[in-house]
Amino acid sequence: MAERPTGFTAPALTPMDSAQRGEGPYIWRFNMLHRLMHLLAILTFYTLVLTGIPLRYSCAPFTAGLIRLWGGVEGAGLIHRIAAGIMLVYSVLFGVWLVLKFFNAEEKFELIRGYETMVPNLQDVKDFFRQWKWYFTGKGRPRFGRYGYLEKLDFFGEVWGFLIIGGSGIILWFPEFFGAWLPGWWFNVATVFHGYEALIAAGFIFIVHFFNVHLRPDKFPLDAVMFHGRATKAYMEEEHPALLDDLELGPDVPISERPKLDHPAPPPSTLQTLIGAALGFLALGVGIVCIGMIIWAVAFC
Amino acid sequence: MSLRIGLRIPLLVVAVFAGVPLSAQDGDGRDCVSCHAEVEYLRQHTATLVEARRLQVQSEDIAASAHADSTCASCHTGFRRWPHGSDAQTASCASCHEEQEELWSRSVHAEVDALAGRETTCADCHGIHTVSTAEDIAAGDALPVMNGACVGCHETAAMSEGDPHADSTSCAGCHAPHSTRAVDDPESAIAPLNQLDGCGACHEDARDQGREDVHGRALYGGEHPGLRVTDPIDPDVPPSCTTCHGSHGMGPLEDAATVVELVETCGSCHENAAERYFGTYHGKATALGSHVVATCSDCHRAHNIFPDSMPASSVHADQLVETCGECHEASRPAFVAYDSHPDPMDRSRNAALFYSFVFMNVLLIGVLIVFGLHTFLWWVRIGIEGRQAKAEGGHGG
Repeated sequence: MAERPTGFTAPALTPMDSAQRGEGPYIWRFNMLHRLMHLLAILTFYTLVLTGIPLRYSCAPFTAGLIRLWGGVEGAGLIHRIAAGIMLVYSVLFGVWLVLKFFNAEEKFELIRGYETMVPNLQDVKDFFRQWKWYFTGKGRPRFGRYGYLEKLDFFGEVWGFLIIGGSGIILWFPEFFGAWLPGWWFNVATVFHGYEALIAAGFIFIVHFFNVHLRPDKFPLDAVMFHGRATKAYMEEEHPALLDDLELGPDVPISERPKLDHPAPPPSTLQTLIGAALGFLALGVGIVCIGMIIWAVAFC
Repeated sequence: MSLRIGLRIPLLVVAVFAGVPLSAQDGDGRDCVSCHAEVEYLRQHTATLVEARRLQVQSEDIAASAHADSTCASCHTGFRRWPHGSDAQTASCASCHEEQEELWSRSVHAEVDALAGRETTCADCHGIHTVSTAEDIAAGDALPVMNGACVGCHETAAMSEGDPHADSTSCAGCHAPHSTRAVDDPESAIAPLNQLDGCGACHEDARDQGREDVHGRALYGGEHPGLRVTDPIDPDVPPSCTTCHGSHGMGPLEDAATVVELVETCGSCHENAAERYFGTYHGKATALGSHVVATCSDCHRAHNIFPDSMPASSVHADQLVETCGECHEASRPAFVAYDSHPDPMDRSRNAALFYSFVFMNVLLIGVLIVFGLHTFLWWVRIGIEGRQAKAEGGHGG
């Protein structure tokens, strides 16, 4: 496992992938489960957005064409519900996996408070305000650990969105069932929650997440770490420097010397780089088209 | 009837043996057609072949015409004796069809003729010896011919394809053949107040219901008590048949597109109701051209619309469970508390909806502002640091 980043065999794409910038070695940042979940999230979320936009903005001029693509309202509704069903299944399974992981963990406290935790804590709040301070003063830029507040925000924002959009969506999906014991105006309320939370989710993913992760000038145009799972040490030092502190290593010590903790990885092959770039650029492109349609529609409706 | 047929049988026998159709015989028993059927004979007495052809009469035409039972002399009053001169008078149609002549003289066509210095004759539409009955003039194969004649001048009035009236109704069927008048003429058959009788001649159910519902009362006076109209009534758009259904471009009601267009039509007067409706799932799915969910007429009906305060109304509180139940099995008093025309900004209408709407808007705007700035300022900061690094690099170099 002493690979150096000598396997750079996709010269055209590798420099575009900010996860492969600078010096190696590579380390695993996201395992297969993370990447599978993220890919499923992209596929289902995009499907939901693209089938939902025509209905949310039925007054916009382009929605007639978009709805025809899905086979009309009935077709779009069916595809929307299938995607929602898949999202429900993988989200519940992931939730079960998290619970099992917690109960099977030997060090439960470490899981919640340790340096690899996704659970928000006081440090995240401090980092958030430090980030703003850095914007205005250029000093005291927060040094993120394995997961900074941005990653936690992405994750828990999606959990919040899943609960709000999913909950209201299921109410609207089964009016016969819920109408039997809920007052009818719940459907009015559910419509508002569903449509607005969807707009927040789309805006957050397609603007904030896209910029933070891919489009900001120091990462532009793409960070494919979530597709092939690994990043260079240089990347980790810039994006997640506190991880090195947590590992009690100096910045000069290659982190792959602690294999048990930081998961050294072989460099992604040409094919993996290619797939990562293809998926990344495709998702970026479609997402930008989506937010473009939304902004266009908002201007019209 | 049987008496007339009984009388005609011996006459027919005579006619068959004489080789002359019964209908062509004049009152004196003289046989006009024996001369007028033969163009060669007529040519001997006329200056040109064209004139001879004009005088030619085919007995079959008469026999098949509305005038089969009339004699030649019924119209050609000046030709009772034979040999006859060429300057004898021909009776006007009005001698029998007085009412039609009178109506025509007051019609928009007579007006236009007078202005243009021309005269449209009865024969222009009805033909001369082939004169058709009112029933036959625009039926079967004759319908497209007759309507084509109207469209010849009224080019924009051609029926669109798929219009349910296109293959079944003549222009005259709606416009009154002899008393055709402009739509804004109150005496016109298609004037708003006369449509219920005109359209109702065929659409009886719509006529019987339509006079008493909100639109009928608005049109003929005597509004229902308890009527709440949230949208201002435009006196220039009286709610008559064509206001909703259109005239020459009607789509078939079986088509989803027609129903969806009707929603737009309702909304052209009922703007508030339509705007709110289009905010609901019903409205959004309908706006996308699908008729899988409720449109205006599914809940409010078409020709028997009443204020929701009236028990006869399909949207009266006591009727809602049944009306919503046509689609929704779960329909019950609690279920019909659904607001089909919600106004989330009106707190008094539904406080829960109002606060949900406010909360989601605050959340949306809050997220957009905070993280929009978070994004923008990050971009600015990277730019500043990039320039600083460049400047320092320049110094060092």
